[in-house]
Amino acid sequence: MDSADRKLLNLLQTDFPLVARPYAEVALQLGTSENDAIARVKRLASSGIIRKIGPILDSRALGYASTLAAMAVPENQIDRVAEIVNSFPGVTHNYIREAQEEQGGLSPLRSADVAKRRPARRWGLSPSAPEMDSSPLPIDCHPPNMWFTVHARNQKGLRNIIAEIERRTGLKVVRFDATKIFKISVQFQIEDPDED
Amino acid sequence: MKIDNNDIALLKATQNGLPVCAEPYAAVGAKIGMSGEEVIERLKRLLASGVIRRIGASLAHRSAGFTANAMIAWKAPEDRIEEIGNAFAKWKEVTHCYSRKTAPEWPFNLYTMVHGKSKEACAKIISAMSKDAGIANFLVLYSTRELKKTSFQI
Repeated sequence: MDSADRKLLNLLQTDFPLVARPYAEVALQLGTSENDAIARVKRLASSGIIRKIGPILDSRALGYASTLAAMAVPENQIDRVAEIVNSFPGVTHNYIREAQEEQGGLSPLRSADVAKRRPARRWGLSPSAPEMDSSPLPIDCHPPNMWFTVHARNQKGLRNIIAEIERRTGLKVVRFDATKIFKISVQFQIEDPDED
Repeated sequence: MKIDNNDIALLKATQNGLPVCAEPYAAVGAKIGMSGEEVIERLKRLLASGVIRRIGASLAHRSAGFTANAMIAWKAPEDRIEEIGNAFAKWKEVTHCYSRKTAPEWPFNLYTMVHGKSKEACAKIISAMSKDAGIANFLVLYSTRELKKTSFQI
């Protein structure tokens, strides 16, 4: 990737021009030719850096229901459970997530470990910041490891998918429905290596 | 906004990406019996109404160098969610910020996604966010395996 590629990636992530020849406009901003801009995009797409260029839809504006869901999946069942969860087209993202011990408020506590830990460590309270809100957290507060997002035409569809996942995996699914969206902006500023 | 069948056909034809060619809108239009001009007009309307959030490139952020991805679940005081949610949204490293319902044994009510070039880079941002907002209770969950990543499709 050269510096023109990086500039191109930043340009393409914002507003792809809605004109008959969008790459001619992109090329103008990049200081290159339309053909060169297209060739660069083709190369960045075939190397997997660009997944796609097109409209990103707002599922809610289209009337769809969605949620973030999580499951505590035993390590040796992850592949089996993932296969079931991922088989639903409404599941768009699915990640294994692990809580970071060293950082932050909480450690990934297991109930059995709790008693062994000192209170400050147990709740991960930061003694250096007494003004912070640090009311105790429930004792069994250890995080699920499989986190996925689900979309469906309506709430009933969403409930059906979750019930089906629970039935087929034999595991409980917890829903964390959004109450407000403050930001969605999946755009990445690509910086030149020496600019950091 | 009223969405007609032609809008749906257009969204279905473009949601996996426009063809990479000199006249992508005309190329899409040819497949669904629309002129390039009509494709552009409809996309403008769908964008203005919010059905389309943006038109642009989606990057494979791992290949673009953003290999670390943390979801942080915050326990914010109920009466400060609005203020803290808006403050977190201003960080450029934060790609998503939502408030969410809590669950039994799970008191976290505010969620942010932070992407960085390393775990250390994410950790720095997260610490700064915590100090800034004055929230000490949070859980950092790094993704260790991507099991599925697609886009929402109609």
